[in-house]
Amino acid sequence: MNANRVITALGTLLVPAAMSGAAEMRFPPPDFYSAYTLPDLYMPPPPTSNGMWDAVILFVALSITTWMVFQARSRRGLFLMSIFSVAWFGFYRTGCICPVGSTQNVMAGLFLPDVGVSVVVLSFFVMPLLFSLFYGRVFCASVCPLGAMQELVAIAPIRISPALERVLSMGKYIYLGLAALGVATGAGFLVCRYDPFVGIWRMGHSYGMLLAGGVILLLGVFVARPYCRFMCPYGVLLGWMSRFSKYHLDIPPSPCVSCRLCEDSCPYNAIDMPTPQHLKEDPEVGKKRLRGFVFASPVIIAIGAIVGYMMYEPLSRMHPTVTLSEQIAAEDVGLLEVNSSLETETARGLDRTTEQLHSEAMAIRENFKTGGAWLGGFLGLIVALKLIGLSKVPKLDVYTPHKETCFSCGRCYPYCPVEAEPTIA
Amino acid sequence: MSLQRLDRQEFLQSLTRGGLMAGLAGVTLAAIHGTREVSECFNHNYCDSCWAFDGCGLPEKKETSDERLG
Ligand code: SF4
Ligand code: SF4
Ligand code: SF4
Repeated sequence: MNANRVITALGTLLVPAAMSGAAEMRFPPPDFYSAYTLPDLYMPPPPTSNGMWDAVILFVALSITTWMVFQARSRRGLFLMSIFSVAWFGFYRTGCICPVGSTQNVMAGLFLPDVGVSVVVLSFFVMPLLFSLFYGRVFCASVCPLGAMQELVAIAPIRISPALERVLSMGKYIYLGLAALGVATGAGFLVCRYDPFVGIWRMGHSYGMLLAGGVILLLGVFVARPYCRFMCPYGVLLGWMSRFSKYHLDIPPSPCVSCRLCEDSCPYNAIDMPTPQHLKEDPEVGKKRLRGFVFASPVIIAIGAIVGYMMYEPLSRMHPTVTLSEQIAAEDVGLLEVNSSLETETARGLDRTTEQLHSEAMAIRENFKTGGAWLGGFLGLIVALKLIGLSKVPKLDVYTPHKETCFSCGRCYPYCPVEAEPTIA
Repeated sequence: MSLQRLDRQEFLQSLTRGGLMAGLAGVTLAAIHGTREVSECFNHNYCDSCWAFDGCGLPEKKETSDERLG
C-alpha cells in the first residue's frame, strides 16, 4: 500500500472536516443581551432514515466479512470492506447507526423503567455480538466504521509492550462502567456525546471533539486502533463473546510450523506465542497461585466498591443538574459572578427555585453513591479476573491469535508461509 | 495438549457459549420490554445522537421534527 496516497486521501477527507467545524466557531455570537436564545446545533437524521435497511446492510456486511476472514482469507478484501464501512456507516449514515452507541440504549432499556428499545436498535446491538460468539470479532475487522477508519490510517504501526497494553486497556472497562453509570443515573449517553469520530462523519462539531478525533487518528498512524484497544466499551462485550467463539481466525490455513515469521506482524499484541520452556512449571505451583488470587478476589471487589462509593462526588459531576447546582451555589456565595454562564442565567429565569434545583442535585448525588459502588465493584472484578488470568501460565505449542483481543484484521495472513492443504477431490 | 483436556475445554466453551446466548436473549427481552413512550428526555436533547429518536414522542423531538419539516 502506498503510504503517501493514503495520507493524501485522508488529508482530503479530514481538512474539510476540520475547516467546516472551525467555520462554525469563527464568528462568535455578538456579546450583547437580547431575549433571543441561541438554538442548539441540530443535525437531522440522514434523509433515508430507514432502520430496517440499515440492519439488513449490517447483516450483509458482517456475512461478507466473515467470508473474507475464513474462506477468502483476504487482507485486501478486508481493506476494501473497511473503505465501504467508513463511506457508508460513517460518512453517509453519519455514524448514527452504530452498535457502539447502541450499548447505551440497551442499558437505558434495562435500567430505566419507562424506556424501551426498538427492534432495529436491538438488532444493531445483538448482531455483531452473535457473529462474535460464532466467528470472533469480524465486526471489528472491517464493518465497524470507527474501527475501519482507524485500520485505514494505521500505516506505520509500532508495537507497545504487552505490560503497557494491559494497563492502558483498563480504559475501556472504565469507560464501559462510566457509560452504564451515565445511563442509569440519567446523566446522558456519554459514549455518543464523546464519540471522537462523530465530528468527522458529520463534518462539524465543537473544536474539542474535532481535535480529539484528529488526535486519535494521528496517534492511530503509529499506535494502531487506540480507541478500539483502550477505550471502546462495545469492544469489551465483543471481546467477551469472541473469547468463547465457536470458530476463530487462524494465522496459517494449515497447522502452524512455528517458523516465527508472524511473531511481529500483529500491531495489537494479539498473537499468543508458544510457552517458552523456562516458563513451564509444576502444575501444583500454578494451582496454589491461582487459589490465592481467587480467594483475594472478593477483597479486591470490596475495595473497588468502597473506593467507587467514596468517589460519588466527583462522579456525580457527570450529571448536568449537579454541575448546574454547583455553579449556582458558587455564584450565590460570590465564588463566581452571578449569571456566569448561559446555563445558570437560564436556570435562574425558570419557575424552578434554586432550592428545588439543589435538592434535585442532592437526590442525584445519592444515586451516585450506589452507582459509584457498583462501578467500583465492577472494576474490582475486572482487576481480579485479570490477575487470575495472569497467574496461569498458558500451555501453548503454536502461534495463535488471542481470541478476545484479535480484531480479525488479517494483517498477519501474508506473513505466514504455510499454504492451505490441498483438498482431496 | 491431551485429547481429554481438549474435550473438557471444548465442553466448557460450548457451555459458556450457550450461557452467553441465553444472556443475550435475556438482555434483548428485558430491553425491548418497556416500549412505552419515554416520559422524560434521557439524553438532554441531544436528539442528533439519540437512538430513541424514531420512537420518541416528546415535545423536544416534536420541535426538531417540525424544524426538519419546515
Ligand atoms: S473495538 Fe469498538 S470501535 Fe473498535 S472496531 Fe470494535 S466495536 Fe468498533
Ligand atoms: S488478525 Fe488478529 S492476530 Fe492477526 S494481525 Fe489482526 S489482530 Fe493481530
Ligand atoms: S508464520 Fe505461520 S507457521 Fe510461522 S509461526 Fe506464524 S502461524 Fe506459525
